[in-house]
Formats: sequence, structure tokens, C-alpha cells
Amino acid sequence: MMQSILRKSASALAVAAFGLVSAFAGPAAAADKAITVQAWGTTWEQGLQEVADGFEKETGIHVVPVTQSGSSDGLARLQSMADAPKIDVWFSTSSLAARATADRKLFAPIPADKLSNAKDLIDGARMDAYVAAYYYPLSIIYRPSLVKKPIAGWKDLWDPAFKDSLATPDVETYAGRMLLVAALLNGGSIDNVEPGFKAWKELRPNIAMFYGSDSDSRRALAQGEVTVLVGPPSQAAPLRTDGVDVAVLSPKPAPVMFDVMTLVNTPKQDMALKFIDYVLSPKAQEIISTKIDMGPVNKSVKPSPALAAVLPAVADQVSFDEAKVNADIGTWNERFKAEIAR
Amino acid sequence: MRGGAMPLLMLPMAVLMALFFGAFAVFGFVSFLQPASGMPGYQGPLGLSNYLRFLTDPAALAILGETIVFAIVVTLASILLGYPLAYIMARSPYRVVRSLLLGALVLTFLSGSINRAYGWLILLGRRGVVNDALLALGLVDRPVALVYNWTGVFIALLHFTLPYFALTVFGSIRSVPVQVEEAARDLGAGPLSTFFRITVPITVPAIISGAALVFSLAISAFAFPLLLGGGRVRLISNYIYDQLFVAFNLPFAAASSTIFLVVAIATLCAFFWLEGAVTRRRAAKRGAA
Repeated sequence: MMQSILRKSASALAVAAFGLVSAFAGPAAAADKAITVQAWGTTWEQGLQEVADGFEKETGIHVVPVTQSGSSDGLARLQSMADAPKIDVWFSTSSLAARATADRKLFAPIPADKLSNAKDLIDGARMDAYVAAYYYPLSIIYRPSLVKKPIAGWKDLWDPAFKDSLATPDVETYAGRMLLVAALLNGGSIDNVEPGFKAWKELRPNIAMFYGSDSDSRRALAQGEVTVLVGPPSQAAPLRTDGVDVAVLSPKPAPVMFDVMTLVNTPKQDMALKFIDYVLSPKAQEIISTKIDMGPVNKSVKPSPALAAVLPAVADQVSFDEAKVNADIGTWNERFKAEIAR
Repeated sequence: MRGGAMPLLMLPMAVLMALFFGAFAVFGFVSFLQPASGMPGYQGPLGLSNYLRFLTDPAALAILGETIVFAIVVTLASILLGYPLAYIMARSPYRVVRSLLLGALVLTFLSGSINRAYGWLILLGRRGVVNDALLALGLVDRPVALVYNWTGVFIALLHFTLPYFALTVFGSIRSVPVQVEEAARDLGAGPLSTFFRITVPITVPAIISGAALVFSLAISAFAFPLLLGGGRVRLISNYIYDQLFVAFNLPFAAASSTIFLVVAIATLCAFFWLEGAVTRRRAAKRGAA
């Protein structure tokens, strides 16, 4: 998930500053029974803090949060302290985790036998070096009061009635899923994204903004700058709280993505593993489902009714090979910037 | 100051400079390396391939070119708007006008650029004040797209750079004795003629310094294109960011930064050379007179 751009712009500075601060603070400042977890600010405030509080009550291990604006910035920070990382668990998109955890010096494997909840996880949620914390689809969120008729599926977005009224993620955001949906809708695939580029180009007259930050696109929808937003269902909750009318649908094909936890190679791995396991527990997954509006990865937990109503049917879900995404996303991005976002 | 204390006093600044330039030197060194396959990081061998790639990629060169042209346009607009503004601030016979303008400008100067970007989003949006006014006046039938494109970035950036220019020139205009202008008027020059033939030429060095300042701010703009460009406006800083955080090609990002830095410094040197030339010419004239 992306957060506000202003923090993104300051990320380079933050990386440097964090390095300095942590160099001076040293180990003396950190309590013995504490771990540091790096995650997105909004996600932390919405629900992870509550999870961490429960974890501390149960284990006596305090969790120190470090926020990142996007997982790329978080990775940059981790790499800047690669020799002695001061972060024990890092939350990331699964695409970036797949790329980053190839670095086996910085990241440690997550053994299944250390996770009491491993057996209850849904398919694809656990890899060698990362475990999903929750899942979410790329959905359509719109303002019923501002559109002429309800939206039924992806193809509706191409309707000329939506001229200048859509916000779609750019290629970086949600790891190229917008392009892949457009490709799948038009007979393409991850190996043949040509139809996706063609369809996205045809969609251009309808697109008011290509966004790189959830908070920016959410604000645009709230202000009526756009009436339709392509993004995860979790975008709708804060708007509803503010009294904005929003509808969510997750039509076929619904790309499903994981946000995952990685285990950083630090001396506190045992405590960090306990935290990761706790996040997978039914208790924590309930909180994530109801407070952050993200799909639970523990099979024993049912999504909250409000969330269940907008999650895609299993038959409609699609997922993509992260290795292929990672290999091509740089090229897709350049092509997107040159041909579509102009 | 006694000579003995000098080296010691210079030490803190020397350390600071070494730190800053040292960091960039590392980055510069990385630009000669290759990306590690499949993951962020870099590896040998040393070579010029990243530079070659940038300099032979029409898309990359186009972005560099667009950034320079855009920065020049913003600079020209800052001069055209900022000079009259500074002149009124310095010369208006009404104190209230002078104080109000200066106060507004300083206030703008002090408010953060991110706050301003969000402010512009609200003002210039489809349902913003500006579009409401245009619609009410019957000047347009449907809201005009003023944000999420180049127009929005231009307006916000101009608003950002204007105080830098106006405040630089303001001091210079103030330092021109009013008597000089009065003398011109006494000798029969009209107000416009006095302005263009006396005031403006005297303050040319300040105009050039102000323009250099604006240019360097505009050419390195990052947040405004990101927030107000709607994903459509990509300046060189945004391009470098993408190479780092989307393509994870640190060496290429480093090479792009180095090329950008060289171009920016060269342009700034041209500004300073111009300023020096103008000052020298004036000194020579004065000498001849």
C-alpha cells in the first residue's frame, strides 16, 4: 500500500536521518524485550497498533513501530543499515518482498515449524522468506451519487460517459496490476501485455489522474475530482467514516495481492518470529479484517460482513507470478510513462 | 581576526562539506557500476554503460530537455510577474500597499510547499473556487482541467518560485536611489522610459541572480509534479526516483543524477557568467565616462 506522497518525497532524507539517529541511539536506548517493526503509517494506525498491543500483553515484548511511506522507501532504509539492521520485521508488498528477500544476508528464512498458525494459512500466503499478513483485491470504488448508472464490471470504465472521471494506479502502484487487468480483459496475459497497453491507452480520455499514493487518490474521490477509483477496498472505509457515499465492487478478473512480513536478519529473530506468528493468529486476523478492511489469511477467520460483501469470489480471483512482474516492471513503467501517462 | 584561529574555525564547515560531497562521491562512483541482477544493489565491472544508455535513450533525453524548457518558462514567468511586484513593493507611495504585498509574499515564502500544493488542488480542482468562478461568469461551459496536468504544476511552481525572485530583486530596487529616477524624470524621460532605461538596467545583476535561483528551484522540482501532475508530468527528478524505486537500478539512477547535475551546474555557470559580464560592462562604461 502506498501512503502520502509528501513523505515519499522526503524519504531520502528520512533514510539518512534514521541512520544518524539510530547510530547515536545505539542499543542502550532499546529495551531488551522490544522489537522494531517497519510498516505503512496508515495501516499501523488503522489496526496494526492494536495487534501490537495485544502481542505485548501476551508476550511482554514491546513493539516499536517505524513507518514507511511505501515499501520501496522501507527497503531503501533497510539496505542503508544492512550491516547492522535496527528493524526486525518489515512489511512489504509481496512483489517487492519477492525481489528483496533474494538478499539472504539481510533477510532470514521463516521456518514453518516456528509458526504455530502456518497450517491454517490460505494457499500462497507463505513463502520461504515471507508470510502474508492479509490479502486484498484490486477493486473499483465509486461515488454512486456522482455517476449516471451503477458500475457492473471493468468494461464499464471504458464508457465515454466516464470522461475525465477515473483515477487509476500507475504501474509502480500495485505492481502493474492495472496493466495486467487490462491485458486479461482483452485476451492478453502476463506474457503478452500488448493488449493491456492498447486498452489502457484507449482508456486515457476517461482518466483524470494516474496516482502513486492512496491518500491522494482517496482525497480526489472525496472531493469529487474523480468519481471512480481503481484500488483496494480498504480505500472505501475512511471515506464512509467521513460520510462520503461510496460503493465497492471486485469484478472478474480480480487480481489478489498480499502484503507480507519479512524477517530481517537480526539477533532478535526469535522475538520477531513470535510477532509474525501472532499477526497470523485468529485474534490478530480479526482485527486486521475489521479495522483495516483487509482479507484475513488465516482460514479459521471469516472476513467481517462488510468486507466479505466486497471481496471477490474465489473463481473470479487471479494472481500473478511475482518473479515475472519484477523482471518486467521497470520496462512496463518506462513504456507506461512514454505512451500512456502523457 | 588573527590568522592562527582560521584553520580551526574552518574545520566544522570543512567536515560538513566533506560529508556532503563524500556522500555524492559515493553515488557518483556507483554510477560506473552495474545493477545486480534481480535485486536492488550493484556490482562490477566499472564502465560507462549507464551514461551511454542515458545519452542514447531518446525518452531520457526528452525528459531532460522538457525539464530544462519547463524550468526556463517558469523562470521567464517569474521575471515577468516578479519584477513588477518587487517594483511596486519597493516604490509604491502607499505604505499600506507596500506592507501588504511584502507581508503576503513573506507569508507565502514561509508556508510549506506541500501545504501549498494541497491548497492549489482545492482551489484549482474541478469543483474548486477558480472553476466555480469561471462557470458563474459564463466563461466556460464545463470545468476546465487546471490540475493533474502541466498547467497545475506550472501554476504551483510559479507561486513557489515567485517570492524567491521578487525578494531578491526587491532589495536591489530599493538600493537604487530615488534621486536617480527623479533625475531621469527631470531630464524629460516619461515614467515608462525611466523604468525601462534606468531602473531595470541598474538592477540587471539582481534579475540574473534571482533568475538563477528560480531556475535551480524549477529544474529540480519533485513534489509539485508528483502531487499536481496527476501522473502525467514527469521531470528529471521524478525520472531518477523511478529508476531508484521502480526499476531498482541504482547505478543508472546515479548516472542520470550525475548527468542532470552537470547540466544544471553548467546552466547556472552560464547565469553567473552573464551576471559577471553585465557588471563588467557597466564598470567599463562607468570607467569610460
